[in-house]
Amino acid sequence: MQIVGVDKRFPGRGATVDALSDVNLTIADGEFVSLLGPSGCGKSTLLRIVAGLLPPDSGRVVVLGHGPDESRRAKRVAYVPQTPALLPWRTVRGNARLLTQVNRRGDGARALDDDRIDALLDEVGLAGFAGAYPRQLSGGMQQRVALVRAFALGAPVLLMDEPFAALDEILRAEMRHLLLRLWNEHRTTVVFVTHSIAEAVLLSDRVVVMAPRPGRVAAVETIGLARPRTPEVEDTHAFADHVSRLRHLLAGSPA
Amino acid sequence: MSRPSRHRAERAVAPVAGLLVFFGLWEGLVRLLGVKPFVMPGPWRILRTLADAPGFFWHEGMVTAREAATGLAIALALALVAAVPMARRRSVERAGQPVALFVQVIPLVCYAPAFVIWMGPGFRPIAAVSALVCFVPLLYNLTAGLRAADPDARDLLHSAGASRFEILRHVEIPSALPHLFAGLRTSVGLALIGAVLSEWFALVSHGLGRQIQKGMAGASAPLVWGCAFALGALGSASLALLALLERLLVPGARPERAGRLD
Repeated sequence: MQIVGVDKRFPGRGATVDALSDVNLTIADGEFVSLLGPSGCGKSTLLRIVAGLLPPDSGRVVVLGHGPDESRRAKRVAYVPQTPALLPWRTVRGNARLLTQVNRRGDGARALDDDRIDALLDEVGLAGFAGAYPRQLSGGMQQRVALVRAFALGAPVLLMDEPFAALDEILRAEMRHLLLRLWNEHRTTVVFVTHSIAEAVLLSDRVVVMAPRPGRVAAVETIGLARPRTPEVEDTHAFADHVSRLRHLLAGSPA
Repeated sequence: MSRPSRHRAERAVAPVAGLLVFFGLWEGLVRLLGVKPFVMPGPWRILRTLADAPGFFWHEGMVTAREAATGLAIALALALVAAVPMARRRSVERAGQPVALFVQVIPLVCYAPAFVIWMGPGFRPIAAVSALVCFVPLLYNLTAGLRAADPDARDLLHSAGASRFEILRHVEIPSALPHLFAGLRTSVGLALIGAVLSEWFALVSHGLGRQIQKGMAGASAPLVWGCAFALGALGSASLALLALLERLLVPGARPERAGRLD
């Protein structure tokens, strides 16, 4: 995936806001990359541009040889929004299957069939809840359904916009490891937006540190921790070093 | 008796008790003050008028019901067609709003004669006026409902290459259903008012509105009140039907599903 010279401005009252200014980034196939930064640094905007939900003002994005709009139509990217965005009138199973049921022409052979989606629901611990409605689920369970819904597309690229931000710390930790497990099996390219340093270090191969006004890439940190990553990795010195270096980079001072 | 079943019994009994007290007071006052039935009948007298000629009130009621239902159906179809672009684009909504407002503020009594002149006497202008008065509340509710859809859910479907129609079908229309039912509840009453009033101008020989007119001409208060009660029954039955439909179509309207499992 290549992001080349991407600019995005939002016309505001009085002054326009430079959401992104000359963002360049190359992400390898199967790589897990986090976009880390404070609010207003344009990380969600960048993700939405890659997802084809927002056109850039200039620059270009290439996902597996195609533009974002083409990739979107060919269902080559799976997007996980900030909220679980489950449809309340569909059951857990119905929500998990939703994206495989729309735009059938774009599918190819990648999408999981209904049996494999059910198996995935079992795998994330929702075995008994396939027939339940979203309002009957806790926040963590809803987010699990959203994860299954994304993986059900079988897309080679997964774009996640702070998917665990609304969960409490204990659930977040659980969800991070669940995501790592699923990613380990499916090995998709992941772009993961977060404002949690520890989350970025635990999950990523590389962390892209972004800075605001104008939104830009300030630094890129390669995380050398071995995979698969277990909860114990968070207690290691290497983990703490990465966290500390990223904290300095975020503060804008040399590490 | 356990708490929930006592609660349920209370919920069933209270509305009936309210109606009985209201009618009881009315009946008592009419009798106490010796008001003549041709001036102001008590509810007992009105119910007897209905019971004496149930076929007559049923037939006349069905004429009016058909006019109102036709109007409501036309209004619903038109509102759906107009609400989709209005919900999607603010500029379309801004352009449509003054028109809707203009249509809405003109008193209903002006439309009826105008439409009879335009379309000629009979069923058509009655249904058209009914449709016109229902259209604006349905349009407002539908536009608000379509727009109330979760933007993340919309993005999600868009990101998987779903078409606008698929987003409408899977996200926006289901989201709009509770709003649509709110609009329909308002519109049922309006459709009946539109039908009854238009019957006065449309030179028809049947319908509850027409019978009210006859009752006034013949100074027959029981006939006028009988028609009023028949209209009340018609409106209540329509609302009950709507409530049933809403329970079937909107899962969230079912309170027993509100419990969380975790």
